[in-house]
Amino acid sequence: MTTQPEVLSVHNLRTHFPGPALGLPWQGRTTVRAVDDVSFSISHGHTMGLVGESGCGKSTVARSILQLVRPTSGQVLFEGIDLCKLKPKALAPLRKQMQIIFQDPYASLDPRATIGFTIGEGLLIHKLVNERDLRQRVADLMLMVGLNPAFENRYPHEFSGGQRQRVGIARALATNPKFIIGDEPISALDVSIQAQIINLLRDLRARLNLTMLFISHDLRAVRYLSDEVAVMYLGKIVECAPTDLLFKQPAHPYTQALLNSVPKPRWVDGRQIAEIKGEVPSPLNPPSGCYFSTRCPHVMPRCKQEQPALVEVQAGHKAACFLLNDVSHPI
Amino acid sequence: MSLEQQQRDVLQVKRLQVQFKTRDGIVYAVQDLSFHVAPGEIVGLVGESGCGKSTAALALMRLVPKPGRIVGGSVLLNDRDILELSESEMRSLRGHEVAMVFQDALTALDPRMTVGRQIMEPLRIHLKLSPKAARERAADLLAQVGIPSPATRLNQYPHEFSGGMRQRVMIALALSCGPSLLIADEPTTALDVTTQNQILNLLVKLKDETGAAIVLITHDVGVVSKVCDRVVVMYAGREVEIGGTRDIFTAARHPYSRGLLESTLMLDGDRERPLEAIPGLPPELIDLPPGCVFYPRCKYRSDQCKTASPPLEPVANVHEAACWNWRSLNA
Amino acid sequence: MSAEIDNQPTDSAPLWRTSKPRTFWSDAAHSFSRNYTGMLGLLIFVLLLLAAIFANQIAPYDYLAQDWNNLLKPPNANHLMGTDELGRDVFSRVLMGARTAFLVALCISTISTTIGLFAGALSALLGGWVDRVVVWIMDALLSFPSIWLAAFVSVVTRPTIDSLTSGLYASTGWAMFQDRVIFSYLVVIFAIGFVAWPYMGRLVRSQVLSLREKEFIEAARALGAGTRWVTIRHLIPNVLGSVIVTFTLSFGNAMLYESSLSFLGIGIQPPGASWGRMIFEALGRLRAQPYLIIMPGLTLSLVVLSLQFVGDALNDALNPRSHSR
Ligand SMILES: Nc1ncnc2c1ncn2[C@@H]1O[C@H](COP(=O)(O)OP(=O)(O)OP(=O)(O)O)[C@@H](O)[C@H]1O
Ligand SMILES: Nc1ncnc2c1ncn2[C@@H]1O[C@H](COP(=O)(O)OP(=O)(O)O)[C@@H](O)[C@H]1O
Ligand code: SF4
Ligand code: SF4
Ligand SMILES: [Mg+2]
Ligand SMILES: [Mg+2]
Repeated sequence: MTTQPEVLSVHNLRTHFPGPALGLPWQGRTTVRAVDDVSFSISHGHTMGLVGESGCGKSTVARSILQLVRPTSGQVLFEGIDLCKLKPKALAPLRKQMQIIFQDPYASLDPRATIGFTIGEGLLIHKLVNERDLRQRVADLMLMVGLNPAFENRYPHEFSGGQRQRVGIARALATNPKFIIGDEPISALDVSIQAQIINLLRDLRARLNLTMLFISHDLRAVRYLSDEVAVMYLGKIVECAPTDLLFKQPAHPYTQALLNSVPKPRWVDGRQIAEIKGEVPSPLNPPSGCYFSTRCPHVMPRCKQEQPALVEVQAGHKAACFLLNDVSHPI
Repeated sequence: MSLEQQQRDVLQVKRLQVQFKTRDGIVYAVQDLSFHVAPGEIVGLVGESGCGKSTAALALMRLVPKPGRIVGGSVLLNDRDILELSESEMRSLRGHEVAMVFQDALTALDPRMTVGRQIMEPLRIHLKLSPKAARERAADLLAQVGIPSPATRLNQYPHEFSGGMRQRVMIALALSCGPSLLIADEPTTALDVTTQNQILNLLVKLKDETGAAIVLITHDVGVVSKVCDRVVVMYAGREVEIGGTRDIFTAARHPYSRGLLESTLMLDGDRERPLEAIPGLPPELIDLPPGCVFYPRCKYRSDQCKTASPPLEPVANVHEAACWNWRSLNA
Repeated sequence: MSAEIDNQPTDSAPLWRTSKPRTFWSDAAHSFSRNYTGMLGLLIFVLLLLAAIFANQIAPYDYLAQDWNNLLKPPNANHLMGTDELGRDVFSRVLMGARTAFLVALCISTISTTIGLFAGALSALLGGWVDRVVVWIMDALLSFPSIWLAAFVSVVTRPTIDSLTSGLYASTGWAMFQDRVIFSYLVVIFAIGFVAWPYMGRLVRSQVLSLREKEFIEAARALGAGTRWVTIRHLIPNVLGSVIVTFTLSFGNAMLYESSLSFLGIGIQPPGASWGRMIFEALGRLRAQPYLIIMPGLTLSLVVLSLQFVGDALNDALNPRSHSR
């Protein structure tokens, strides 16, 4: 689909956490498979969208890529270097090339640091500029994200959620990263502010030639920002396709359910599609076979026994569902 | 509005005003809010955070917290002005004639009481049912809101339910005494999309079955378009537009409503074009400028808007907007 | 070149800065200097501290000198705070008592703050068995009423320290080991420091634990910050406010403890001057010579109060939310 080199590729990423203890001490603990065998890659200048309902492992994917949690197994290749193998010392200089924007505009800024410091922190850590240039660079960054540089001495509590999110974006851009992860950067914001931030991200992405992983639970937001979309369910990617294709021809029953659940105007006359039953099962105790089998309207006996693999249903479009192996079986 | 129709309305709110007296000054949380709801109708209150939706909802139950006070207007519930009632009369009304569903079901339910007892309590108090009858009715209610094996579920505690199930319990509880008015404050905001879809469908189904009137509070324009018959758009404590949902969505006559709709993320529409974001932020409700509250952010503003606050005036059949220049927003 | 400028929170702010870049620390200092109660507290505290340091120079009489012609004289021109039943000048004794109180309190709060800070921070940062052991010790110490515990430690360790010092005196012959008064100070310092540190330890542990989970710490790590950077730039500024408040309170508390122990007769030993001891000895004369109690008591309250003012002001200064603009 593209000749651009891959900036990031993730192979068989697994991140497991110790879960709550079982009844008795010697029985050990359960395991939460927050991310379970996830693979994808993003080529230069492209944006991958990652959607899924809360708790499906999106943030854990982000934190595993940046090695903020160490993955249990798998590879994270950033420009060909496997980050999982690097010691913290070797990782530190690479960090200026990959950055993250967090979901919570309140918790992600140090309440006791001026926003000037917060934005310039990466430059200070990596000693990229001297004192004088630092101020100039911080001012440039603030202008770039639409903040008045005169606010450099203010503290986070003096700003609104949207403005704080702009600070978070400026901080992430300070070291001129190649690759940015947005972990639900607009979820905590109001509608009109969401639109402002989406526009800002699109504009910056084009201007700075950024490669992005954009995480959201909202399909609508992902649609505006991604070239490609991966859909996660209980720690696994169930479908991955170029954006327009995914929205026009969703192949996996879960993707279809997600799309159908987005509230639509009553007067838009669409097929009345039955809602899917039930809720996301606990990741502590996932169903056997296909993880979606407890809620899938097309569930077959086989789905309870085996796990479907992510296979290519057409060029560039992958999905993990037994229905799709059989091409004659339309959904 | 004909006299006949007026008498049929479950709820008539007229020029409701709520203020909070704080150290920093008076917060004008709700200013001149007027709307009515007929049986079997869902009216949406939509607007961004802090615009006064929840305060308005609490005022309808006369539950505005200190230092807030209802300073003007009337709230006619089945033709009785609840602002004139005594506190004990009001208590017998709450949970009986008018009930409320909150965003956070976990904090709204008592964690130390079984779900069954919580549902039975209002049945015993308001409807004076015997314990046995109350239990049967409670089981029926759980079944009605789509909770499987209701008889055993009655003996469980709130934490044993998932988020969506808890919200169903809240709805069952609210409906227990057959209220003629249900107020739902962001009932699906904390839920995942698939669960949100289920709960919204449930609300519509229950409304059709019981004929209750519903006031639905939300910041999600998509939710409004899916379930509401009519909408009240709020901005900075004011009602800026009111009308049929479809009219507002296709022919909004207030610049804020229009901005809100244009900045809303959609599943269709051109995803390459930047979103039409409303610049700036909503004002503080403490010292509002004279004139139109939307003036600082409005692209249709004229000199008149700066000095005089626009009244709500009819712009079409059962469709009103508070804007001096509504005529320049072509339909 | 820029996105549309979002000019909130104040539309009138200039588009280009006129001020210098400020830091958290310079803002905190500025805020403190504008807090009048805090500055007043600081002034009183410093004056009293100076009085304690220069007690020998200021005191009009020897604090041990007995004047049998002037027994139990109420405050007058010669004796600002009167004299006690042995004819000693109360003002001089209060000054020397201040010296004891400040010395003991400073040592105690430094000891308890240092132990508490390290124990709490290590416990939170290392986790695992270190955490479990530290928490267990803190809980154990906190489960006793602290004054009893201090009294207990003081009583138990006194003979040991006594025999230690006499042993040392016997073997070295150094005069300093002869001075029992100093060693009664040591006992008190040790006893109170021992019971006081878990308060600080618990506070620091819980603060660090909750901070560690904050996204802004993760953000700093994502920027490439190491443990040292995170500790200096983020953990310390965020913990410092409550640590300082607890320190100032513990300073006042330590003075109260010392007085209470001395009052109970197990603290500073006579003829050492201690406010608690002075109050204790004058208790029987509450009606006839109330000034014997009021003078040391009032001084003690003044120190504690001034510290509270300073602590509150520091807490505000270290929290940008409470800065006024
Ligand atoms: N540090 C941790 N220790 C134990 N379990 C964890 C940890 N971090 C995440 N999990 C678990 O891993 C799963 C995935 O979590 P994650 O935060 O990645 O989900 P998410 O999709 O980002 O959800 P949300 O939208 O709610 O943020 C969840 O079940 C979560 O409880
Ligand atoms: N207890 C309170 N004290 C002071 N102001 C309040 C209080 N509760 C709400 N407000 C103010 O009233 C306005 C409306 O609040 P609310 O109804 O909660 O908004 P929404 O539900 O739309 O998010 C806000 O400006 C809010 O700050
Ligand atoms: S594999 Fe089976 S259960 Fe899973 S999504 Fe496909 S049809 Fe449904
Ligand atoms: S009255 Fe004026 S400022 Fe207000 S919304 Fe209408 S055009 Fe805009
Ligand atoms: Mg997340
Ligand atoms: Mg609300």
